[in-house]
Amino acid sequence: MQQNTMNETESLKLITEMIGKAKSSYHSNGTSAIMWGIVIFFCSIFSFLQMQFQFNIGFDIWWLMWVALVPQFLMIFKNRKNKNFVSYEETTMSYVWWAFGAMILMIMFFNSYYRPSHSESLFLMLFGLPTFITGGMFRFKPMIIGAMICWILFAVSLYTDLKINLLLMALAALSAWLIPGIILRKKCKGEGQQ
Amino acid sequence: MQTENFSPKDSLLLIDSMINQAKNRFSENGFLYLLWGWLILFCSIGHFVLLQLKWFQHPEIIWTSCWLAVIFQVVYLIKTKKKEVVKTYSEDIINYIWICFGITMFMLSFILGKSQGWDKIYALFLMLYGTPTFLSGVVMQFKPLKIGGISCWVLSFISMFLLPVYGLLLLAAAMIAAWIVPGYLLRKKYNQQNK
Repeated sequence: MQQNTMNETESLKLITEMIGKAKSSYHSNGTSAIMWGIVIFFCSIFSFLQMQFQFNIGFDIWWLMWVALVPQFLMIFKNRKNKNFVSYEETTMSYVWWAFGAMILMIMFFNSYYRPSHSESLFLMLFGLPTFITGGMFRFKPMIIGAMICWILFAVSLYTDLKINLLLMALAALSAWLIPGIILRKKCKGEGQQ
Repeated sequence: MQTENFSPKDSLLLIDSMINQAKNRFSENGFLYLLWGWLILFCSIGHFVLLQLKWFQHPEIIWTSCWLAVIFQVVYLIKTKKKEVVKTYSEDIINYIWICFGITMFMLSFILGKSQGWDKIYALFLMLYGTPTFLSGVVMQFKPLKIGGISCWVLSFISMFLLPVYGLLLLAAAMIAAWIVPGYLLRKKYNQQNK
């Protein structure tokens, strides 16, 4: 294999290009945030309405989360195909979100096994975790603020009943993912037009 | 403020020196992993023994020793921050990960005091111990921490099927796998690099 020697200007240009590529891939993440924000927001509000007006649709609305995994995986595979490199941030980020997924599964198992009181509060606590790390990693304030809102809502949820907690969960999805996702999208579009 | 004009060569040299500095500093000495690993191991074994002996009405009091470690850690971090020349991006990420861990641990302790039916809380603690450990391993690209994190998750799962009292023993095992062993390995690496 032949190795090309680069001069300083070429090396710096390459570094700048790599940073540019990494930045654009980070921006594309706004789509996932928006999708999950909408799904969780919708499921929480729907569950609240079901409890409030006592109706049944024959299946658990939260199964939509599993359905949402399909476009998520498609996005991951499409993203991988279009890329010839994966940045350090992206690798770390994907591990953060895989770890979050693993924790959500563990909590679901824990809750179904023991059914402790305020079990839904645990989700609010967990929502803040990857959001805070992602916001910190990319120095993206809306996500840091969103994570903090999740943790405040967690504290509130310990003093409220399930019905209200569903509304808190919708609020958490809105502040942690949907709004930051939309801001990311706008930023991405703005930079694309430049 | 005056800005200096860097030639491409100067810029590359600066980047190179920063990377080298970061590489040396990055391999942290594992002190905090060892401090917390040994302390939690001591507290969980102590709590378990005190429960078996039934000498005290509140054997959980042993965990208050963690507050001393918190004070010690704050002093330690202030001291090391003063000596810090450059802070790497990876260190920044690790900080965010552990800040999250601290906040969620505090919340979990809060829920423990507030609600009923949380006698299986060890499963949750173990799950939380695993997350920052695994992610730190990913950021540092340090396998022992990744394995330690996964071990915590496996132990968390096992603890759901055991009596709560045995959760304490699993906690002790988790500390060995997640913090004590990786802590010593980090220290060894650090000492080798700084010889």
